Amino acid sequence: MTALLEVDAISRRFGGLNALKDVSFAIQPNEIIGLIGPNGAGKTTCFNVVSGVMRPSSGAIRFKGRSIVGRTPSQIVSEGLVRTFQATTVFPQSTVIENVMRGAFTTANVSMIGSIFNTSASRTALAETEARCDLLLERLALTPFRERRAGELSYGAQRRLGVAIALAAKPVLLMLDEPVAGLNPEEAADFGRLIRQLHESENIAVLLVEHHMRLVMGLCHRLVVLDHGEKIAEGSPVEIRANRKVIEAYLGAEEAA
Amino acid sequence: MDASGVIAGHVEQRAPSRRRWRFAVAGFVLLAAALALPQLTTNQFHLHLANLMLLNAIFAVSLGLIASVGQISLGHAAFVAAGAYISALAAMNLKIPPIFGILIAGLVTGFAAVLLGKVLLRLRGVYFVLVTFLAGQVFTLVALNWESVTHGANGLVGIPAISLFGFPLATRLRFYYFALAAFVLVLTFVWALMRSQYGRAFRSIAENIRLAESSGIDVSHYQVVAFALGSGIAGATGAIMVHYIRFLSPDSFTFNDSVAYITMLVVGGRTGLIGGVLGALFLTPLPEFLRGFVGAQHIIYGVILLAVLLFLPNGLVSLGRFFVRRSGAETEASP
Repeated sequence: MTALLEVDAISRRFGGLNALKDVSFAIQPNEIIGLIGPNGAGKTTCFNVVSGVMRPSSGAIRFKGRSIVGRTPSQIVSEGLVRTFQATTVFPQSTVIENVMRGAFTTANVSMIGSIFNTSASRTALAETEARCDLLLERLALTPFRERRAGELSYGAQRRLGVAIALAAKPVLLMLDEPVAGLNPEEAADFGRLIRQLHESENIAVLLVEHHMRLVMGLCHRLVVLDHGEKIAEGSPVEIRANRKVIEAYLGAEEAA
Repeated sequence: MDASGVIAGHVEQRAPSRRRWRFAVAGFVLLAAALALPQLTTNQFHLHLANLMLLNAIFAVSLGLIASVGQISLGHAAFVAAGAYISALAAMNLKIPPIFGILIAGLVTGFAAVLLGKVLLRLRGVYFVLVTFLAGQVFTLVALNWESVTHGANGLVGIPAISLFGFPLATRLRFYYFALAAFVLVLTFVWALMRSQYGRAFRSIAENIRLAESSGIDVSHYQVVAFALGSGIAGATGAIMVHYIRFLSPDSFTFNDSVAYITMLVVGGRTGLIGGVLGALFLTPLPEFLRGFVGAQHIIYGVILLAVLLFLPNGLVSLGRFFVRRSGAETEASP
């Protein structure tokens, strides 16, 4: 089985600082992978490099066997690799359904020129897209807020909307950047169940950056641990929990704090 | 909470068709008034003002198109001037009929904006504003110093009027109908554009550029499209204007005009299509109404601008929204 995403020895330097150094890992289709590590370990940088927001200083990234280094985020999205953001996850001034319709922009089967003349073909295509978006709203328990402005939603609902926007782009691999940061334990547990449900019903692989250890341990098939920009461990949650290097990295962080 | 959300959803679904109907009626009434009104006056100055209002409205709407992807151009008047020079020189030197000159001016300025946009739109925020400002200044200097073509500061005199099927639009009244047609055409086009998937992409970019990009919307492509369309419309309209004024010098369209278009857009309302129109209709004749207050006219003009921005921070268009919402609430209350 070939890997869906192969990250091959990527590095990223900011001036003299090595934010990432020779990090390699792979994601198989239909796998949930957790990317963890103490603060400043390079998780977000790794995320930004893989999703095309930043270029790696060196190394290769292949998605479905093809290199995606140097391609813009919007091109990478059309390949089926979609990410969410930590903070700015929605279009705050627009309605919830419009938010998801924007997420479905590239997957709507409509010609741009046709949509200017509002041809019947474009109306049909957009109606189909809207039906698909409504289904996503239902799946993420957002239907009651359909016509609300996204900025008015609760924090937890905005997080779910962020995932709905990403799902609208029909991802093969969904990358979630700290999806439960700022949620209370109950909401976080709900979110974890939601991610597993989506993973099963939509048949997508998930790459998760998260601090919430219980969620990560319960949800992920495999974990990749970063510290000071380097990969220090990889394995199943059970293996990672017993790994001495990982314990040291986290305890060291606690001592410093 | 769920129940109220569902009810709100139903109201929203019923409202658009009724609102659309109301907009169509309002549009018809306004168009009929715009067609009939000039027949009621013989005052040439009022007609001239009406023509300038229509043209300025197009300039403001075309700038609004660029602003709809979150960019503000301080060089908009340079595209207007470029279109004016292209069509004027084509008519005077090559005897190209102005009606074709206008189309050529729109295409050339639009294409120039594509090239410029590919470079410029990498710059965000204040840097984009600065470079468009510089591009505008450079254009004015070129027009001033390339005397063999532009006649420098002396300007171009005797530019022919637009002629349709051998029927010259040489009077203010005849030109009024041409300007009105251009205005309706541009407004319809921009409305259809903003309603389409292009509009969806533009608004996404203005609202959250990072999320737009990671939703698969090619931000730089759509920013170039908006910049090119806005600038092309400005160029073509500059050409229309020059065949009306029939004189062109480097002073005709300057940085001050770029600022004036931005002011119209801000005073009218930055979001939406109608803002620029309202701003142009309000600000173009305002100095003339204040002409009686000799000495104090500029002060009063400034005070009115300040008052609008202070009390209507979203522009004149928010006045209209207020009335629409109130009338909407009344009809919903009465079964």
